[in-house]
Amino acid sequence: MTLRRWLWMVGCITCASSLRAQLPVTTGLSLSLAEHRVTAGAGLERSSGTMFGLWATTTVPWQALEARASLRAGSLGATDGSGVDRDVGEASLGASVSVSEWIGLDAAVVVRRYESALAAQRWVWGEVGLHARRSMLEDALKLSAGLSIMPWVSVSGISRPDLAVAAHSAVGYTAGRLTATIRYGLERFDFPARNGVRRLEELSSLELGVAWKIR
Amino acid sequence: MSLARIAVVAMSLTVLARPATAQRAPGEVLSRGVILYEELQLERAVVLLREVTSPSNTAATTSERVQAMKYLGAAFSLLGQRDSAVAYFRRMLERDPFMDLDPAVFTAQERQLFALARQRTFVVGVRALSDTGFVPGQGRVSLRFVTTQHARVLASVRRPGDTEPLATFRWTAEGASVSPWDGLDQKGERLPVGRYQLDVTATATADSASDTVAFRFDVGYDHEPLEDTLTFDPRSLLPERRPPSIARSQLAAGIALASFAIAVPTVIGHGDLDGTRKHAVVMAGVTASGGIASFLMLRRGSGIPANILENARRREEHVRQNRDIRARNAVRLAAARMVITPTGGDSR
Repeated sequence: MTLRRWLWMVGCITCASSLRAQLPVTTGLSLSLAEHRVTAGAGLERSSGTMFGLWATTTVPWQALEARASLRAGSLGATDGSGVDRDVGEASLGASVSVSEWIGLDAAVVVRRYESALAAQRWVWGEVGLHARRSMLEDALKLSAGLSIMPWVSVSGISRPDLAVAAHSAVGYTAGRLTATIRYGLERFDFPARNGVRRLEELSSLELGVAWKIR
Repeated sequence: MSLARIAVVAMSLTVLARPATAQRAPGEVLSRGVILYEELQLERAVVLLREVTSPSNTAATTSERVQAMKYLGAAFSLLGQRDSAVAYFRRMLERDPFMDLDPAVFTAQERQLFALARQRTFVVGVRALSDTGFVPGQGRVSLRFVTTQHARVLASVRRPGDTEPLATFRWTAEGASVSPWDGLDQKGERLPVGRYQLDVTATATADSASDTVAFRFDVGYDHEPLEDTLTFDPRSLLPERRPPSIARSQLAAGIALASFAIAVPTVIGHGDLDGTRKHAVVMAGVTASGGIASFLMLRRGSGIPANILENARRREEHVRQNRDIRARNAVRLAAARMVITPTGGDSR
């Protein structure tokens, strides 16, 4: 390793250490009830199951930016004879910036992997979105809803979708350091037709979470 | 000039001179009489001094009369008319018990007769000293008393028109004395600012002769300027209750977000996939419940706890500041000097 790399590493560790001492950090666990639907010319395939997740958020020193990292993994079992069971793993990094008291902008990068007995597929996309939020009951209750688009999606083995959008709605209730959340999300990917067959995919999930504000 | 003409001129001069003298100010006549006394033109001095003491001379002040009586007594003393001298000295003492003969000015013979007059006259007098005041409880009132003989003195302070004395004090004295009163009432508290009357009764220890005098005075206090207490401005308070519209707007927000969740499968989802709506329905129910709960809680009590606490803190701070101001004022008042101002001399 060159001297320059060593210096970069030392600098990054120093910055991370100093930020670690200042940043507020919240971590949480989640349980998602997910349903995946896809049609690619062979009829509708439905699978559903449970995903477990870990996530952490922090608010960076300039306060307007909230960063979030999450991991989710689970199994979706076929709900009819035409489908196949698959495992799902997902990692995401995102950030939110407040535009006003009620409005914020979101951006995220998501990597997801579906793996079944037949094949494995990796999804990578970047998304940007807009959300509205409202605090109630002295900030104890927070409601939010948002829309996102995925302008850049890469799916292994198939072409990019020509429509990729998502919507979410969430409620969080905070008591002291503890926050209970429920989040509903729907992702839709419409791929261009190939040989007269159009592939459509949709993932709906209801995520129940609990978070603890570490500092 | 014939004897008759001289007599006519003399009579004319006398007749003309009387009105001229009568028109002169008593102070001027007194000064002239004193000069004549000092020049030992005693008969002429007596004429002028009697003019000052005459009851018909309404322009003469008490002080001028007293001075005239002193010099009349002294003049008669030098003229060998002892009884007249003593009589004038007594009349002088009755009007002003503080009068005395200065040894540097008056002879031993005059002072001897004055002493005789003091023995025969029993009077008590009171006068305020011209000083800058005193701190009640830490000094003596700025009053001076005098009795012409050894006497027991009883003095009481009361409000004019009241019979109940606020303070009573007694002592024994002969000649000039200061009062043993420390300026506090019977409860040990300061007299409020206002007008008071001091009734002094003296009883001679030798023959039980007594005399009384009343002295009216104003009580005031000289202290550092006091701070004004602060008035509380209600505009400095934060709103403690939310307007009713907040509850409605939160309900509306909850319902709007619930509607959004309900709409997502239809608007965002693809119709061909016929995606599940269960998640959306659950989410909408939770969201709407949040809005309804917020609405109900705000309707039940729309107080703003943070503002209520902050307002309580501001009120407490205001009370504390006023308490401190009152404490500082109390210290200044405790150190205030009592000032006694006579309002009209004494009366018997």
